[in-house]
Amino acid sequence: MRILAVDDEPFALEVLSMLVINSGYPDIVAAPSAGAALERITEAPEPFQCIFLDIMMPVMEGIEFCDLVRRLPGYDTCQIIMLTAMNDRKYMDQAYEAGANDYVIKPFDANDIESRLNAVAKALS
Amino acid sequence: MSSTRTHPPLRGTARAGQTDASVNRAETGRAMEKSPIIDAFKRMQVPLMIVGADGRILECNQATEHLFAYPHGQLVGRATREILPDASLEWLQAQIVPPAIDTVIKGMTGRTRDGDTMLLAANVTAWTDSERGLQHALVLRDITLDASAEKLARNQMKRTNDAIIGAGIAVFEYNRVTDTIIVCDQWRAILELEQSEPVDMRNEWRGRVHPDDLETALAPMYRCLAGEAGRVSCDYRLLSRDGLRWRWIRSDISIAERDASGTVIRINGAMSDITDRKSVETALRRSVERFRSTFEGAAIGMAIVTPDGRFLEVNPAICAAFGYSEEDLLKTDFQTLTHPEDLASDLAQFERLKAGEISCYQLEKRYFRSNGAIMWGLLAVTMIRDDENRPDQVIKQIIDVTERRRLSELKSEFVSTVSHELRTPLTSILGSLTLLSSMDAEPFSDEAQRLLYIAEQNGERLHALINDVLDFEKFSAQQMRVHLFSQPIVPLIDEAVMASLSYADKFGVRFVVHTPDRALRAYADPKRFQQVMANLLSNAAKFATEGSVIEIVTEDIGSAIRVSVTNDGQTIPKAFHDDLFKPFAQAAPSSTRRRSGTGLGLSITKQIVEQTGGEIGFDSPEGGQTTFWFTAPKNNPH
Repeated sequence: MRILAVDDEPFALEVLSMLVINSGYPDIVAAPSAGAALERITEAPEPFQCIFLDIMMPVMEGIEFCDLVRRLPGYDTCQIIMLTAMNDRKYMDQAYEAGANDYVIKPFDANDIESRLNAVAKALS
Repeated sequence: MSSTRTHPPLRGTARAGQTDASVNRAETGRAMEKSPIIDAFKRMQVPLMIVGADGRILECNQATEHLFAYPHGQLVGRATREILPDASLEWLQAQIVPPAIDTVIKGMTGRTRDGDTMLLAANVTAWTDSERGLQHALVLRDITLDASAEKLARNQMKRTNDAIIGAGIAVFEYNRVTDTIIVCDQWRAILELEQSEPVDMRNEWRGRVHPDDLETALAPMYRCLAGEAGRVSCDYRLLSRDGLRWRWIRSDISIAERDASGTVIRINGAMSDITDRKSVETALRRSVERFRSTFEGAAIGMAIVTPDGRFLEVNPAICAAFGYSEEDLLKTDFQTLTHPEDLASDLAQFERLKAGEISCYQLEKRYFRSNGAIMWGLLAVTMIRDDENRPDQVIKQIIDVTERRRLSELKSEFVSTVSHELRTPLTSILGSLTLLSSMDAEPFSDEAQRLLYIAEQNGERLHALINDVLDFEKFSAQQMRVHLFSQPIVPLIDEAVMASLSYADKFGVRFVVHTPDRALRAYADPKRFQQVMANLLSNAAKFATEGSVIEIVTEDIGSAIRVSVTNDGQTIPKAFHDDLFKPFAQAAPSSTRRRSGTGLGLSITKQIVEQTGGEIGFDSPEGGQTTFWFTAPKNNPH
């Protein structure tokens, strides 16, 4: 499964990537901003199947980016999982409206990440 | 009363030396019969009669016969007592006291032939002559009607007097010509004078009028005397006789009589004590003034409004809040100033107020200031009704809470931002630790593993703390929206117990649930209910004696459902009881058990319970069984 992780916090990005790999999904690309993520998407030979997306990012926020990604060709079925430290309900609603599939509150539970990844993988196969 | 007169002897009185008394008598009689006086006696319409020495009627005229309803000639010779029952000769004689020779009898009874009685007044004259001896001449007057008229007048007068006295009105009269004042008893009473006290009325009164009121008190009299007005009134203060208190007096003066040239010669007046009424008036005036100054000076915006929203009166504070001058504010109405989105809820409550369903209500709503800016106001409304209990006026109080809300929002934002900032590095910390723990490829020394464990635990603790702080802030700002609806409670409890089973395992205790009625329903927000249960169950597990049973009981207490969680364990120290629900309160470290947790759990739980319309409490008596309980209402608390 091809995974993309987007977060402006470098440590968070690194830890998340390691967690994902540890869960048994080695194919993960990390991007520190929405802009960089777009570059990765353009470069990628095939669309990513799962995207971890942080909400609070400078320049372009996660929700906005989510909205953008959904419009890209081949990304209508991509599983987009929002990440955030804000547990405000209004962000959740906005995220779902923008096309997100799921929502995880930081700091995340490692087991939680693993089970979601498994669920996504199962759905795709 | 009688007047004293001497009377020249009547003609025909015997003189010493007369020889033929009978001839004289006849002569005298004939002479008398022919005299003009006798004619007059006979013809006069005034009843005249002569009573002889034997008490019989000697002579009487026709008028007398008519008076007593006797046919002509039938009265003479009768005993006087037949027509004048009281008038025995002795009695008649007694009426005239020498040296007087006559008297006036004001009232004596007369009796007609038919037995009817009448009241008579009589002039009585007595004389003695040699022929007939003592005689009494009576001039009679029927005063029956007079008497009854007078009696009627007197009764009426008495009734009027009684009424005047009853009303406490003191009448008095001033006659300018004679320069005299006449006062009635009640007048004296008002001045607290004895009835017979010889006092100069004028000076007494003048001396007791309050110096500031003297001019006012005298003015009506001067004006009436000058003929300026027919009737003038005034109120003034009169000192009590003991000089200790002031009484309020009302005087009504009017013109009683003018002379031929139109000059006022007599005035009369009515005086009454209105002290009580004045004190009521004063109290009322003070009360009105007090309200007025409260209204004007209040820091809270206040307005008196008609039932359809127009401003009747506004105070400076409300003008400032809206940014209008008083004049401009009075031209507008409440509906215009209200934000359209908040109008409906306000009107709904207002209708209930008008209908009498509620006596007052409060509401936070938006208004437009004069410059178009939005003001958040805390509104309180009450209603005044008229005598027929219809809505008359509405009192509205508004506190500008715009700033308060802004600060509250700022605070919330701040806490959210801080939480976010704290969570971000924490994510990396916890993530790293988790990964470390799961690295089997590089086995750690026992020491390293121990340190890893400590780091993880504390990381988790920090995580929980941040969550709790955020929750707590949201609840205290009442920002946390609770979605209440009626639902069966027992499933929620079961779910909570299941979710807390890990705690039970961890502390070696068992949960036992008692729910006699599985159909019990209450108003709750499922997520928040779980939060409350999780907190109480984890606390119970933490503090329970290892191996013991924790009992969860649900009961119906009428208007609500009560859930209680009981555990065996140490009694909560008395000193801690008051602080139990306060943030960051944890029992003193004297207890041996290691306490984990943030210290915010119970305070958040209390907030949740109270915001969902319930109550929370605990019992921890000696003996070691502690029970925490909370209630959920059966009816929607909002």
